[in-house]
Amino acid sequence: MSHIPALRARFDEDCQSFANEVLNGADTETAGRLRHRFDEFKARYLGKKGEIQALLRQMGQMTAEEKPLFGKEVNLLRDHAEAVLSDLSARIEMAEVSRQLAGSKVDPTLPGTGIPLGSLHPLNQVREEIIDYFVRLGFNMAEAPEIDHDWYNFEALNIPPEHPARDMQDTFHVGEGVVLRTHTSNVQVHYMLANRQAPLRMIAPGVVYRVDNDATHSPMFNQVECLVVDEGISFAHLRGTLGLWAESLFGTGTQLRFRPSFFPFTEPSAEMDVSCPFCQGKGCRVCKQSGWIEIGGCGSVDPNVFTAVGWDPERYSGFAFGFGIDRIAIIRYGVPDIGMFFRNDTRFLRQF
Amino acid sequence: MLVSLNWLRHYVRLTASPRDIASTLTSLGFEVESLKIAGEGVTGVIVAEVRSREKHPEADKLSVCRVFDGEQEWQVVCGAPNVAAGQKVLFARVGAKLPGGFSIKKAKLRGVESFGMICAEDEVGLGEGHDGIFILPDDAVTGMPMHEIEGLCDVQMEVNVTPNRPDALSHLGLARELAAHYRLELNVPSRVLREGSEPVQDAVRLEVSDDASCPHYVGRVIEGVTVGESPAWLKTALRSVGKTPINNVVDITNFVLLEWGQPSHAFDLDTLSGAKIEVRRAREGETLTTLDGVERRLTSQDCIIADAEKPQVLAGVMGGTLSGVSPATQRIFLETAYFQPTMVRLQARRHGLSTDSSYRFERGIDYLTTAGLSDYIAASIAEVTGGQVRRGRLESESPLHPKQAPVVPLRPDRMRKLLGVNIPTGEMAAMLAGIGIAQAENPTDGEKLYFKIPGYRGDIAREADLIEEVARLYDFNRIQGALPSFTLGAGSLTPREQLSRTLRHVLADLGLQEAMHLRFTSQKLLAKLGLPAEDIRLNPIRLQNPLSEDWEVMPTTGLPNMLQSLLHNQNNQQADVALFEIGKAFFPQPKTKARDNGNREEALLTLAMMGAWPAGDWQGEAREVDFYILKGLIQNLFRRLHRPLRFGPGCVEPFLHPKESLDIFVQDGQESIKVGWMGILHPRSQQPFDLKRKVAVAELSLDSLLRLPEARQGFKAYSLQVASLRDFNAIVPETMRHEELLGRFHPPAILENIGLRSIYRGAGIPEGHKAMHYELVFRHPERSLTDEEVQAAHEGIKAEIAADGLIRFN
Repeated sequence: MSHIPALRARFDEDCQSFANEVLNGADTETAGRLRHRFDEFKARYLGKKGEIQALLRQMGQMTAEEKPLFGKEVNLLRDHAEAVLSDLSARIEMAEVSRQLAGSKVDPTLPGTGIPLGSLHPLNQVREEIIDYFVRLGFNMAEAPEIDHDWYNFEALNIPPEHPARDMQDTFHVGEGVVLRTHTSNVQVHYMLANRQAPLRMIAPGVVYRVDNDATHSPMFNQVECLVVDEGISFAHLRGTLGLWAESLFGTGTQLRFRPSFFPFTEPSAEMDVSCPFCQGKGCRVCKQSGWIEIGGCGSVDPNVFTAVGWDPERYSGFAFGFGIDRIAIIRYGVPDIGMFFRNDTRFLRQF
Repeated sequence: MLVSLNWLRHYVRLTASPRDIASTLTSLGFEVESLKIAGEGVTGVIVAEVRSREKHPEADKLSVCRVFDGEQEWQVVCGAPNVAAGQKVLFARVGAKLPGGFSIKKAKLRGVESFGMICAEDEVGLGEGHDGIFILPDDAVTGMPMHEIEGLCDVQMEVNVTPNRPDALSHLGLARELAAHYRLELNVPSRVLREGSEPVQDAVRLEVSDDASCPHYVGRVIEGVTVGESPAWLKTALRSVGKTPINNVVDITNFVLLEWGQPSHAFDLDTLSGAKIEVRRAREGETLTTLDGVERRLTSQDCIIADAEKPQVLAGVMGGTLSGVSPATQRIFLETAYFQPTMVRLQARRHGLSTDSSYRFERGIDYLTTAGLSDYIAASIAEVTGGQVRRGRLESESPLHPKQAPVVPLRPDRMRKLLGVNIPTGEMAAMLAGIGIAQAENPTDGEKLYFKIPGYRGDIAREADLIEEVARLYDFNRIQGALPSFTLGAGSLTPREQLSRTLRHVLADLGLQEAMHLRFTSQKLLAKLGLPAEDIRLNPIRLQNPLSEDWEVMPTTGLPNMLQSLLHNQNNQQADVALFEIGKAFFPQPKTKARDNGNREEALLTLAMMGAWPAGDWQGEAREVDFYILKGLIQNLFRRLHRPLRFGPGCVEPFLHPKESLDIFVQDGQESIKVGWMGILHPRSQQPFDLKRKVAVAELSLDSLLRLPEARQGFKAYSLQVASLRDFNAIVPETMRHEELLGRFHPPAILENIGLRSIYRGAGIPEGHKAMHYELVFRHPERSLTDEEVQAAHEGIKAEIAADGLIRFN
């Protein structure tokens, strides 16, 4: 019986010196080697051939009275050894992990690498946003030729040859009766000819061309055209629809202002202004102190347009509006020169 | 058009502020683009009298004046050379405010005290003059504030008048709109015409042989005129809108043009041969030297005013030098006419002219007031020249020319329905009456009202036109917005847009930047691609009126403009560039139907890359853009497109490296459709674009891609068995291609995949050879494989590959 306390004392001492040795010298040994030494140490006391197991073998020579008492003492010793070693194991593991972490040479302030990220053109971002808004409202997207016959770009839109209204849009000509479209309004004509069933709800983004080139005009630019045709469509519907859209684009509370204007294919015709989103209409640099920003033209479909495409103007009415995507992007991003959109300088493109 | 507020005030007693008037005009549809308010920001400046002027004792260029402001005299030091005793001047008293926030204080100049300032034109915001002080007429009232001096502080507005409103190209027309808006009376000017007893017919004959071009022509003769300087009011009026006075006759015609919008022309009657005025087509070869000094060759398309011998005026556009009014002129023939708008427009354009006269005629002037205004102008000329108007008019009017105001019906209910606002019928009629559109006497037939349209509103011919006027006068912004209601319908994108979005978003995600080019290019740029002469891309659609040589044709490929953008970036120290764009190409094609546009449009994806990839790598893993990076991009793109990609054996595009390029196909069953090409730019094409580094380019036709539907693959079950991995390192001749090597063996059923891991050239590998390291994955769908099975398959493959001795393994 007396060797049990002696063994316990020896185990404690042994364990203490082993712990000191491995934990302090941990950085000179590999993780696997440490683990191996620990397992060896553990086996010396708790293994099948270990010293604690050897104690049990002495039980054979003991009396029936001695046996339970001895067994209990041995079990207590084993529990003690297991607890101490499990604690030591955890400490060795922790030391190992700390060592791994400390070895990292990563400089977290260096930039990340290897993952390229491109960009979408700002004009197309705005274009997509506008299309998606109207598609959600049930509008169908439409396209039409960029090089078009005069009839679709002008005549069917109530702009006869030699009409002074042609001066409003300086036109590129490519041949007899063929022009680069000056507006996306030609899509109205193609669309009404191709779709004969009311109601019509059309959204048509596209590239258009005019003979013009300065800081605010590009000979090619992007427009969006909207057309709604049904029985009973009114000018008030135009104002309501545009008001809703302006709020979606420029924020809740955006105000709408119409100024009378002239487009041969709409009547009444209006220029549409929105309250300046930068100053909420108080006046700032962007709106040139006016509180308003002009964003496009609109109006009720002129009866002559309906007649040209074979819709009955007595039965149907409609509204149309068109605006420059480029202009909206200029306002949104504060781009000083429209030409920058088409120069494709990566210092510009990567900002979007 | 430039408009003077003082001038407008002759017809309507406007009391609103200049800014309010300007914003009212804009809200009525006449956009005021700029506003110049003379004397704005000036206070405390009054009329004063210079009582005496003496030289400054200490300075040669200064003088010391005594100035009387109506109450007391002030001592003022003045630097202007033209100041003199007895003058009436503008005097800024101590405390006065001048433009720019400058205020006048008591000062001491070279030891002499000065109480205020005698002002030059520019110092009080009246103009540009700074040569000396501004001297007022002697009758100016001493002590009167500057702003109360009649005609001094004018407001000049630049008004943008839309082409449908020629009536507003005149002060009277704009005054009419303002009078209606402010509910003020419009004072229409008139003059009493005193005719002599001699009939006009005795002085000159009129013959109009082209009454289609000239539906109404009125002539009058004024005799005994003295041509000279215009009276002050006339000169002031013209100057207020930037016109230079010439002489009293020409000034009157210009004044009436700007007052009423009616152009007219005065001839020196004594220069006209045969005492005859003829309105006719020119004869081929006739010439006319117009007032701008240009000798113009006329054709039978030109409508001219001629005397008995030769052309004198290009009708409606510009007069000639021969018959113009000069200081020696004694007898005047005055032309007042209505010319057909399109005729004038074509004529002006043919001769490259746009004049105040042609601008108005081509938009359509008042067609009912020609004769009345002839009287008005004749009376005005007589008044300012001291001349005498002969009795009667010479007049020619086409039987087709309307002689009275047309009547247009309007259904008030329809107006309310189309505008979506409940404007009462009475209010509507009152608004229209305000701008001179009165209800006609026709009986109201229940739902319709009839309105008489004045001759100056040629733009109103239909009910829709009247409804627009009602909305405009009511104010668009008073119409409450409403939302239309529809039966539900799903909105949709076009297939091209859907495809284009997929491409754009994948490419942006893969690290490219989306570009956008102007859809113009040049033949010169296209030529740099080195295409064979018969290539359709060398036959672009040409603009008749290009802005420049660089933008003379429409693109047939996106490549040249894209390469120009690479160059732009290269020149701006942006070395690593990866751009793509979805643009358009245009090709001529024969017209086959009415209103055919004679071309075919094709949507193209063009991409170009140059420099390091990925850019911005510091770990040394970035590579110079090469063929494989490009090919990888294209392969990824097609995985997202869900269209089966196949590369052709090579590519014949002459601008691509012959060994580093591929045609791109999509597979539709047995059929392959070519959709584009990719490759490294040929050095011969890289050089003309001045690009310094290797360039990878590709182009795909969206329209070709759209000919094949998306073919999304369903789920394919994968084996859950453990795979066996093997590899081999094959030493192959440099000329052997990867696909050739793979084609040398029959893949056993259990070979799931074979993938290239690396290619090595150099030490240990014989010259002209490369070591290709492949990894093989063996797997059975249902059971695990034995080592023997895998070993046999692996060895079998190697044996087949090496069968002819060309390839060995190490």
